[in-house]
Parts: sequence; structure tokens; C-alpha cells
Amino acid sequence: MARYLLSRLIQSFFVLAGLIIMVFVVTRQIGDVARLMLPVDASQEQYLQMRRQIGADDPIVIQFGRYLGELLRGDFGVSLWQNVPAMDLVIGRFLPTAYLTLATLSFSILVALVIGTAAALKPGSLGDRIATVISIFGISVPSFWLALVLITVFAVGLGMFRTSGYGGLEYLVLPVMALSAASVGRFAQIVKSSMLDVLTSQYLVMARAKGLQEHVVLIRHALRNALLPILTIIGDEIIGLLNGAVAIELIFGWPGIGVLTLEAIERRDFVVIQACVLFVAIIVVVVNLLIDLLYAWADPRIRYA
Amino acid sequence: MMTASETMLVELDGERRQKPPSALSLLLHDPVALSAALFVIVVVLAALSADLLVHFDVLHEPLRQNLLARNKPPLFESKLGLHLLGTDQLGRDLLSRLVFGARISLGIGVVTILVSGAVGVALGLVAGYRGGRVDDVIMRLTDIQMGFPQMLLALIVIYAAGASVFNLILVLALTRWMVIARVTRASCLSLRQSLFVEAARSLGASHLRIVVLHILPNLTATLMILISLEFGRVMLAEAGLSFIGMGIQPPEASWGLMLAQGRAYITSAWWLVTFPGLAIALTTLSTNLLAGWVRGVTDPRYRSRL
Repeated sequence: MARYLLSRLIQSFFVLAGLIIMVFVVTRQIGDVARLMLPVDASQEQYLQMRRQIGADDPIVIQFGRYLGELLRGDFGVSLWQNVPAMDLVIGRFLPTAYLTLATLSFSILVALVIGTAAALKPGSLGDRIATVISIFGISVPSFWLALVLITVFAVGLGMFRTSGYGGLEYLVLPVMALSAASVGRFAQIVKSSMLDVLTSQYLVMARAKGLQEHVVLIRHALRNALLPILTIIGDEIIGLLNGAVAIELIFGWPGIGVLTLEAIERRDFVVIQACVLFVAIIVVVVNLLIDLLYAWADPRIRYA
Repeated sequence: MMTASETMLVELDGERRQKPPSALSLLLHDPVALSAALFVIVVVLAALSADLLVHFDVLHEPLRQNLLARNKPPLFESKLGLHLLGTDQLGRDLLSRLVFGARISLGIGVVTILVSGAVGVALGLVAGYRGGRVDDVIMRLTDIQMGFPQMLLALIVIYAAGASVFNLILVLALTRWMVIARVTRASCLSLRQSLFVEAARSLGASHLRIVVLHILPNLTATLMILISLEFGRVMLAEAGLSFIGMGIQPPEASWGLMLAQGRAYITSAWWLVTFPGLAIALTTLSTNLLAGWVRGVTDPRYRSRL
């Protein structure tokens, strides 16, 4: 386990390093930070002063060192627009996104378990076909369009739920439904195929042979093992949800980090944009690491391989 | 009297005479896949011939504004003629904008897939065939790339470099090559061990020849499935970026951008949101269905269920 942990930690380190280098290169080489940090109508003098101030004329290595030093101290800079530390803004806006993402993740896993298991129990049945149709529509329909349709039907048409805002269940239902469609589709396919594998396994025959009741066999023996493959794609799903959340947050007026990024882009607040990207990326790396460790803990074959 | 092996040969021969059904006849017998294929063909043809259609007055001029006929419903007849799918907030013909939007949405998808496919397949083949240190480096690179949210990366790249079709394609290709590289590598790894590769090698074939002529052709089916799935994902990503204002810029039309523009009129002009959304959803659905169909036809495990 210790060796596995070490190799995963080293890998995460490289992911983070690659990411930091990429953001640095994109903003310093492709763009011009001094320009990005100033309003569009800034004068040439202001521009030159800004270049001196942030040391844009220093050698690239020194610039990178300084940038790295700031990051290591947790200093993401001060928002150009609101004049508060960018990190405070980012953390405050990340919580709603985390709330939305976790709600969507749990909802889609729950739905996928039900329809995936139903499909695996009777291949070719009506339940199987419905599961297939839901999966393929789920991964094909753009979530932001689904969001607009859901608003029109449920909020405007039927007067249920809120069209936008941040809060409890009445605000949460529609964004979660819109965002979870694709995840439900992918999870359901995974659940179905892993359930199919498990259902034909020897230990299930054994469990039945020793006279266990069918629901005990299904829940304690089949489902628990079929859950493992879900763990492997949860990391990718979280990334996908964070991607999709940008448009969903925009539509539902959800005060999350996606909307913050867009606001920062609109106001040309480069410091906050960079802080958003780095913060979310660090969160994703940490979550991926935790999931892999969880997986290794749940499946001894990974630990000792 | 025939020997046992001769009998087997004759039987084999008899089996061979029942020719396996061709891909086309399989397609004709699968109504779902057939309609998906037809839909894709119609959209592609319309996109390719958009200029001709305008020239022969089948379609309206996509940028021709008519402020007297703003947000008119489908089948509305203005002094310019019939608007089959209605008009948008500037009185432009929606159908015509959809067709010209298809050109951009599909075009970006195709070019992106070509770029990310070429990069992904090349790196995947090198990693899978060479193995060792090269493999390690390339796979760590895909790990790094897959480990963070592409949307935010795309936002910062487009913000720093400016929104243009070229940058959009670059960003989408940059964020989508990894899956292709991984799958190519995995298949290449198993093919590398196969007898026919060993045979080619013992006959003195060069590495390049083995990879291009022996391994790559065996990846065709896998890559076709993957590429049609990826095409759908790229289209959704482009639509998403354009929807939040970081992709295609007006007055150009892309389906995602049209959705964003129609959003303000969602309660008064439902067609502005419905049709572009349907266009994205149906195109992605078709490519996903076709991917499933290719898998069904090429994989014997699935084929037996047909």
C-alpha cells in the first residue's frame, strides 16, 4: 500500500506541475499578462508601467520562479475588479459548485444503479431497452439545452421549482436534472456491464447454492462488486460535471465558480480567472488521488499488483 | 472416401459460400442505424451545398435581416417568402441560419477530430509499439491532460489568445487527443504480441512498415467507433463554448451560439431554442448510434445479438 501511495503521490505531483506550467505558458507566452491585467482602454504608459511592476521584462526563468513562489505561499493575487484576495472569492464561489456537483453525482449514481441493474437482470427486456435509450439520449443531449427545455416545461409551464437562484431543493432539482443526464447515461452503461459480469460469476452461484435469499444475493454480493467499476470513472465524471457546470450555473444563476470565471472574463479580471482555473485543477487532482486510494482500499488486487 | 481433413475443408468451403452480409445490407436491415446514417448524410449535404441552396433561392440569405419580421413563428410568410422554421431576433431565416451553422459546427468537429485523431493515433502507436520509457512519458502526459477540467483550460486559452475558429479548434483538439491515444496504445500493445506481427518481423519488415501496414489496419474498427463517439463530444464541447460566449462570435452562426442568442426569448419564441438544440442533439445522437452500430457489426460478441 505504501508503495502504491508513493507512486500515486508522485504522479499527482507531475499532474500539478504540468498544469501550473501550462497555465504559465498560456498566459505568458500566448498572451501578454500586462495587457490581460489592464482594462482595454489603458494607455501605453500604463501598459509599460504594468510591465515593469509585474516584472514582465525579466528573463522567463525568473518570472516562472516568482510565479511559483507566489503559488506556493497560497498567494493567487488580488482581484483587479473587487480588490480582495482572489483566493477568498474563489473559495466562496466554489462551495455552491461543490454542492451542485455532489448532488448531481449522487443523484446520477442512484438512478444509474436502478436502471443499470434492471437492464442487467433481464437482457433484451423492456427495462433493458429503456435503459439503453436513456443512456444514449443522456450522452447525446447537450446539458445546457436540456436545462432550457426543463425550465420551459417545469418552471414556466407547470410552475414547479424555481427558474434561477441558489438555495434548497426547489432551486436544486432542475440544474441537477439537466446536469445529470450525461452522467446517468455513462454510469448506467458501466453498471449494466459490470452487473452482467458479476451475475455470471462463480461466487454468485455459490451464494445461491448456500441458500441465500435472492435480494441478499443481489445487494450484498452482486451490487457491492458491481460498484467497483463505478469508482474508476467517478474522477472523470467529476471533471465532466465541472465542465458542464459552467453553462448550467450561467443558465440557473447559480453563484458557482463557473459563473465567477465568466464574470471575471467579462470584467477582464485576469487574476481571478487564473485563480479559478488553478483552484479547480488542484481540487480535481486531490479528488482523483483520493478516489484512487479508495479504490485500492476497496480492491486488494490494485494494492498488490 | 474422403479423409477427415478433406471433409472439413469441404464443409469449410460450404460455409464460406454463404457470404457474410455486407456492411450496406446490415445497415439496411437496422432501421435505427439507417435513420441515423440518413440524418447525418442530409445534414452534411445541406451544409456542403449551403451556398448553392441560397443561390437557387431554396434557402434565404442567412445574414439578411428583416426587422419587420422579428421572432416570427415557423411557417411564417414574409415579403421575402416562406420561413419554414420561423425567423430569429433580427428577422433572419432560422432554417438558413441552421444550415450555415451546421457548416461551422460540423466543420469544427471534423477538423478537430482530424487533428486530435492524428496526434492521438500517432502517439498511441509509438507508445504501444515502443513501450518502455517512451510509453511511460506519453502515458504520463495523457494522465496530466486528463487530470483537469478542459472547459476551464479552454476558457483561459481562449481568453489569452482570443476567440477565433482557429483557436477554438486548437483548444478542442488539445483537450481531446488523450482518449484516442490511450485506446490506440492499449490495442497496439496486444497486437504487438500477435503472431502475424512476429511473422512480419521475422520476414525482416521494418518497424514503420509493421506499424503502418500490419497494426494500423487492425485498429480501423476500434478507431471508427471511438472517432464517431469523440465527434459527438467535440460537437457538444464546441456548442458549450459558443453558448457561454467563448466560441464562435456573431454574426457567424453556430448551433451553440444560436441557442445562446435564443435564450433571451425562450418564453416568447420557443423555436429559437428548440431547433438549434434539436440539431445538436440529433447530430450527436446519430453519431453515437452509428458508433454503437459499428461496434455491433465488427465485434462478434455483439454481432451475435443482432
